Amino acid sequence: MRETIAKLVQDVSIFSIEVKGNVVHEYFEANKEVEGIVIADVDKPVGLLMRTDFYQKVGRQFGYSLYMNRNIQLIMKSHIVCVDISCDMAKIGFIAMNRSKDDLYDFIVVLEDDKCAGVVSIRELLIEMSKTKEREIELLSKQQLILKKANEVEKIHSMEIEQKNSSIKNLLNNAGQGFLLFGKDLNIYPEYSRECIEIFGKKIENKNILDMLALSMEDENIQIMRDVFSNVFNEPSKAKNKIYLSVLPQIIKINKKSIEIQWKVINNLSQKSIMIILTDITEKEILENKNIEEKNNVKLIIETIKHKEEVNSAFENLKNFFTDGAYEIINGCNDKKQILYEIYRIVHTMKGDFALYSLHNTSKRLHKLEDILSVMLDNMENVNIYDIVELVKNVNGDKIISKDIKTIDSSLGDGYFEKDDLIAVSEERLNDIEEEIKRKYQGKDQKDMLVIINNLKFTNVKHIIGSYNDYTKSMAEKLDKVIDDFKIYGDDVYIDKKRYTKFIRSLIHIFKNIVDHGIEEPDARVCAGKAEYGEISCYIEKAEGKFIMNISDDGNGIDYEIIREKAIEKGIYSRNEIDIFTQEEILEIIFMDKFSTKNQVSMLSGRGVGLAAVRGEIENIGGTVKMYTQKGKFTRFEFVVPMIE
Amino acid sequence: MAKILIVDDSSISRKKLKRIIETSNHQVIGEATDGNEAYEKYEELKPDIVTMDITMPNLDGISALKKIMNSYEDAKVIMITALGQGNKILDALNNGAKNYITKPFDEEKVLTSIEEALTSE
Repeated sequence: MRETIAKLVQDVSIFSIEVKGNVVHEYFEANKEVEGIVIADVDKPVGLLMRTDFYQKVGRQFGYSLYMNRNIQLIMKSHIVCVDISCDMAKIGFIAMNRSKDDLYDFIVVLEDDKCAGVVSIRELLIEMSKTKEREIELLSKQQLILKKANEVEKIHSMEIEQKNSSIKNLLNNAGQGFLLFGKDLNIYPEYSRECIEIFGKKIENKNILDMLALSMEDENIQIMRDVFSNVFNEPSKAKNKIYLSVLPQIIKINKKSIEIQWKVINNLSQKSIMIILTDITEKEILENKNIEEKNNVKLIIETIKHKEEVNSAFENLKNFFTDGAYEIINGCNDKKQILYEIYRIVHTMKGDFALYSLHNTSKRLHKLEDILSVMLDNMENVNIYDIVELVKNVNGDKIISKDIKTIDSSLGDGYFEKDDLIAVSEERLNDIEEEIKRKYQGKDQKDMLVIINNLKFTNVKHIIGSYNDYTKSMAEKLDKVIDDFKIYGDDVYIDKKRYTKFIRSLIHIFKNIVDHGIEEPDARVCAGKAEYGEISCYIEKAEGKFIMNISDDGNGIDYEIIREKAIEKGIYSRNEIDIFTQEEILEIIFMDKFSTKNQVSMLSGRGVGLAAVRGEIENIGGTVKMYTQKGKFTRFEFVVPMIE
Repeated sequence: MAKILIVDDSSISRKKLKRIIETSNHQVIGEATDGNEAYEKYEELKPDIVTMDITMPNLDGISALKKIMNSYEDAKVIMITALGQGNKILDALNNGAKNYITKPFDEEKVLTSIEEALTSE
């Protein structure tokens, strides 16, 4: 590689030979960074004056008077090195270094068309030369590394070949699984295990992997596979590769057999390939399917018991959607694509929701419907609004849920959802389910499920209160109010729920009252300097033979005056009687039957609705309820509940 | 501890996911029910992780992903999908999603996906 000195040339000041020494002195003084100047006769460079030389000479005895007022010709060096601008770096280095010791650091004068084009400073030249050297060394060591790697690859290659021909092949052939590899061109490598021939029914070397797997696949899935492969081969990150591969199907049908597929990326030094391991699971699957269905059914039952209300409303939503909701969408919009997408989206969401509750059959049927909708969405030009109406008409919500409903009915009794109970399953049936779980599940699954079943029999009071959370929130929503999740704290008290059934059920009136009358609307709360979200909290305290449960809200409290007026209006007490009531006694009125009836429509209506029922239930089991309130601040119900063995 | 934003139009789905996440040391700092809200909440809360459902009203999950990635290239988004959305998953992964989770949720898979996304670049 030849490099010229052109990039090292720097400008220099040129002085005529007739210039006096003091002019140079002034110039050097004014330009401290200048190392030297060139002296020229007309245009031709004839000498050089370096700063150090100049002051060395001027500084001698009589030097100043001798040189200052005379031509610089007397003081300059006339044996200068001149080179052409096209001279290469190595050569100039050689020339420069071969000068006498005194001249070693002098400028080299550069000529272009015989005129001075500038100078090269030796300092710059040395720096540049050492850089070049460094680059050469680097290049050399890189070449060595490449050579070394090439050697290693060669070694690995020969080792691989050796392996392919020996024990590993034997092992793979007898593993009863199909092993094969393919590269970026998607062609299967000639080395694969014998089981592959069994699975595909033919030899597969150099065949395209997509063609081999595509036989019983939908076009969309083939396209997904193609995209995944192209992403894997172009994506260096191992973690990302793993994620891409996980998108691929794990079980596919080949020649009517169920084949389980594991996908792996093999990163050899030489090239990247994908290995797939195929296992024929046809027989295993038949055996397992029955088992899986049984297991699913147990899960389904547990979810249904745990989330009765939610599951029930999910079923209701589904049915309503196909009788009303879908038509509302159709009638409410003119764009057929938008209509179809909205229906598709809701079906899709319902599918996911049912899967979350382990209602697999409902989920599966919705999945099929979603497939149809998705095909229609892709072919919008051939779909008109009547096709959509026709499709919705043909969907029978009852039929979609029928299989899961049947399972629920046969396990929990017909009409399970119609029973207005928090828990509507007999203990005997719970024991059956417990036995079933012990039989069908092992390990962590079994343990988790048994805990759930036990919780159903013996329940933490916190949990009972917590079960009103969602209901209360949705009730608030209907009234355009917002509340936070319940804050439940204090002791863990476990009770046998069925001994308290009626009392627990009556608590709904407490929450209804809180939401209806206690918690204010968000705007009003903010105006009153409270948080937008209302707070309902419950504090539970264990005591000897009983527990104390405080349910409170941070709402508007109760206005004693209004209760007074109402009681008089209803003829419960006369004004004379009521005037001597303490505040505590006034609050007692709220719990009275006469006061709290459902049919009142006045402003006070509802405040107290059902509270008489609550008092009735707590007293039936030997407990008490008291109310505390402060207007604008809070209302608190304090229950003292006996432990019933 | 990571701050997580859950985006899903199904309240059931949001609740289940939240329950799973809260068994770990992570914290759900917000929920959104469509893509537009997701973007707004992202800007407001700057979560460490977003779990993003794909099929949603108004603005779907993939468009929301693109919108977020466009403004915040370091965003860590995990897609939530139901069965049979392979092509959409690929689309999402190619547009910057870190990973995906399928419904119904597998508790362990949810938590490892979050861990993996947190440690990814």
